[in-house]
Amino acid sequence: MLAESKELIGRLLGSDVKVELLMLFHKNPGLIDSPEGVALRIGRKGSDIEEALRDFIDLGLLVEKGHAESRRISLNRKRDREIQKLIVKHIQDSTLREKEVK
Amino acid sequence: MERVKTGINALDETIQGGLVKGDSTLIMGGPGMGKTTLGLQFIFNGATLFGDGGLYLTFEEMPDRLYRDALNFGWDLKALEEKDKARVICTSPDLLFKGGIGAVLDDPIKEVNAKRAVVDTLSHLRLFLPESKVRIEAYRLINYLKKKGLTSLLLCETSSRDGGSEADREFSFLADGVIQLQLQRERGSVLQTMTVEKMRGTGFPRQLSTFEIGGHGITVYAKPRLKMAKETSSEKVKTGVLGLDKILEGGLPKGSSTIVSGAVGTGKTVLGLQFLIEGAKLGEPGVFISYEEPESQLRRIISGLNWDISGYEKKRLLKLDSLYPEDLTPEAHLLRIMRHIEEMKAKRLVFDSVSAMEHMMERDNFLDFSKRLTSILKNSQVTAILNNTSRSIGGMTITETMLSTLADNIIMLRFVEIESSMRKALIIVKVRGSDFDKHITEYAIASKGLEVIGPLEEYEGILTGTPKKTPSERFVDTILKRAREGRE
Repeated sequence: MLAESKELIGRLLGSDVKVELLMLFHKNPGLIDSPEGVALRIGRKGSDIEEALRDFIDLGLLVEKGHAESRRISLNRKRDREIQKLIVKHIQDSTLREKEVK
Repeated sequence: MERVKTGINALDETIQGGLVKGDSTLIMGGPGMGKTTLGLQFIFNGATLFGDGGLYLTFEEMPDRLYRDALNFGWDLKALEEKDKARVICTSPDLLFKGGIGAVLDDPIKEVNAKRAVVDTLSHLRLFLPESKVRIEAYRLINYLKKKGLTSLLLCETSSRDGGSEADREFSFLADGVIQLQLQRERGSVLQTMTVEKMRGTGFPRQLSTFEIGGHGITVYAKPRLKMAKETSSEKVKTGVLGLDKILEGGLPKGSSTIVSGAVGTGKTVLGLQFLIEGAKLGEPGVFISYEEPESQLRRIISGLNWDISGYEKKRLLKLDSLYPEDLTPEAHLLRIMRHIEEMKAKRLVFDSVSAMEHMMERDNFLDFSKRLTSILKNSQVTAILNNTSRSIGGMTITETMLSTLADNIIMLRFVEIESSMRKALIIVKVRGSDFDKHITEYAIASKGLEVIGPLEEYEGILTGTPKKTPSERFVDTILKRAREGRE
């Protein structure tokens, strides 16, 4: 379980772009925009965030709908809550383990 | 017709209980006028007071900024989102229309079972769509919201704070209602005003209401309605000045309004306090509203005259309220007076002074304010003294002339120079429906307040401030002088 959540955290925080995207959607869960629009909101180009977007969509954290001009990205609030819970649990478990080791 | 309350009481009252369910209302205003605050309040009140899910659609402001701004007013939108009572959706008009409105908004509306919506702002369509498409896409969005049964506020940014151009007004043809937020400048003070310009299926007064954005969001102050007083009384109310009550043949008529006009230092404030203290002695609660003197100064005057009011204050027979005219909008002042009268069950009131209030208003607005003030006082059967600081020694000032038609009674307090000394005289100009002594009477401010000395019968031209003895008095003087000379 711990290893699984460790891997998840690694994927979520794997690059600066991913951290910026996480922060953007965490602060603005109601954001629905095109990939280019999302990139604009964190001061980057569409091509810079494509890889990170793809990974977050695979994780189920972000949702992609539409195609071509109507392609839009939004947060999956349910999955976001699940992931947040996993992270909190991971931190709690890690803290407990550190105490036990000491 | 089913109504959807905004939760802003005075606004709901103005539009017969609220917005018509399922209608779209345009909120027009310049930058910083409070459109977003009104929108957030509509959504928050909907969720917390009326159990309506709400959708806030923003094209510009990011949700985190809106959460922060709303939290400043105590509205936790994020908590509402977590409880699935509201959704703040941020998207671009471009995406909304290319992908289809339903594709973007159907899910959030369903998630919170939304009954009300805010679009912030409709003007943003202009930035993303060619001019020829703006109106049609706005129409499409409004129809989508109606189809979903949402009662909506469509925020619209006008190019100026005091109106808006023709282009700004284009959306008003599409909406069922239009509310305009504007700035009104009056003699150095700036008022925020709200006007209902259009509201289908609703009767509403075509007059400005003022509003303020405070710690709890927008508070609208609708003008109290003018009502004719039903009852008139022949009873008299003692002023607390024995000699004055004698001149007035028992006192001021109960439920009447009296203008007491005089220059600074003539004793208007003292007379007002004396009037209220007399009331308190008789068990009639009274309120002193001061726009000129801070409360500490009033208390100094009171203790200087050896009056102890603490007992009356404890028994809620007397209340002092000091504030600057600029602290509140004119409507808020009127509502505050109504609240004082209600809470204190006041029978007497002193308004010190109308001239202080006049300085912050244009002539017509001041007249309107005075009309509503006297209407409130009459309908509450409150006997009132309205002090007016006069700048002229003789004759009537413009304020006095304007107010004389509204006030039932007028008392003038004047300085007069008699034989190189400054004395004081009072003149009763008018007492509605009652007889009174028409003599010009000398008075003084003694150790226990205002005291009437007696009529100044031997002088004429007192109103000019420099009276002369009457011809008969001069004749008597001459005879006496000659007689004295003869004896010598």
